[in-house]
Amino acid sequence: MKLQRLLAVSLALVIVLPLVNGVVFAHHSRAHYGQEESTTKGVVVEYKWRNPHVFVVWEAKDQAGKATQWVGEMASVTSMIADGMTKDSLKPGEQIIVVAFPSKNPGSTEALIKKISKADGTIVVDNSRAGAAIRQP
Amino acid sequence: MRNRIIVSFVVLAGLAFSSLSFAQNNANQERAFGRDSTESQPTKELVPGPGWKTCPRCTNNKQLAAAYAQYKVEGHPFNPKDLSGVWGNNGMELDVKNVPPFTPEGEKMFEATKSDIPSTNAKDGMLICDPIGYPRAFAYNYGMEFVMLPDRVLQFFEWGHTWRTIWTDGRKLPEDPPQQRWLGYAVGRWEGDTFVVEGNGYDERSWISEDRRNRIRGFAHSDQLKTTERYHRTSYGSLEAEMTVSDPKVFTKPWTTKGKIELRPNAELWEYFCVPSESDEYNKRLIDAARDSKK
Repeated sequence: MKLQRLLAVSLALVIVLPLVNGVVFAHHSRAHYGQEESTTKGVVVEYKWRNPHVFVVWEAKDQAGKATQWVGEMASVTSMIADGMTKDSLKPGEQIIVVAFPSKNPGSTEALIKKISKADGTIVVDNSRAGAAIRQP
Repeated sequence: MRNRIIVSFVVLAGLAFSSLSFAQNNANQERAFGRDSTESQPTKELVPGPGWKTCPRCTNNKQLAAAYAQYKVEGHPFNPKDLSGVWGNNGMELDVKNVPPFTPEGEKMFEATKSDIPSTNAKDGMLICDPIGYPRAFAYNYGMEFVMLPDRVLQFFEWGHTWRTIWTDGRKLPEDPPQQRWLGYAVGRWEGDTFVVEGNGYDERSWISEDRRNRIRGFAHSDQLKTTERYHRTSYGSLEAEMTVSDPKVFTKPWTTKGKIELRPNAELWEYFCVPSESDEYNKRLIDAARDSKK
């Protein structure tokens, strides 16, 4: 129980403190993304290795079989290189598991990417800082 | 296993703490401009091929630490009057904790930059690829390189893949610049081991910087903007930098920022162009979505 409390406090520090300060963003704000993490499985529709921010479009189906296309925002090309991604990291048709922070706006299908894995477990990118919204574009 | 998870989160919390001030006034922090390390980040740099180097912003802190050892940066001999090299990866953020009071006109100019949506600085010319200009390129540049020549110092910027010329041939700043420039006019001189750069003639469409306190405004300036920069190479790998912004139409007193810029021995400038077609697509797919959904 004590350990769980420590875990919760640590997580809160990671998430809340940078949001309070806000000076660490470089140019595009990410204030519209929520703090609630969402994990979806889907298929890559589009992978844009482009500036100002790399993004991926993937299609995920809910339990009723309804398909939704999500747009997942990352950072600039050079920042994503520092995180281990390349222009060849994702290809249309690939199955992926995405951990992201969806927009707070109702009905929105945009999300801030935290982690992308492939079906075989290969990690494409894992940037815990995304959850704290402290990443630089 | 549980303990390892907890330790990981505690470490992350520490990173969050440290990140609160890393972008400004960080002379006492090591690798202050690096990209924080995470477990999944590669230890090997991405380079185009043998003999080529990575880009300033392509480097994470694990790689930067290895590069400092590889290039023997610590204790490396240096000439304090030679600023050559690739420096930083994000510019030096202005000291937004000490913004001087605005004049009444400056207050109006600042408020006029306020975004019409809360999630981003929608009036920022950067979104439509206007040049970021100077001194914003000091505060935000993705890495820069000084090249020393006999009569001038060239300062290349990764952001925009552009440069400015700092004339050191003895000329003075123009008293009444015939044409405002995004990067202004700049002249430099040595005061001991400190390279002093003065600039004026900045295009009023640029911002001094975006306001990183809340991301929804920018620091506008007038035609009276003048800048004074001081660079002092205190070691092979470290450049103390100071930027003073003076604009009597906007601020009641000068605004000074001090900090440190680190050498990127493993990097060379690549290119970061703001490409209108790319930005247009980004704006439509991600910025406009935020705009529409606030209604």
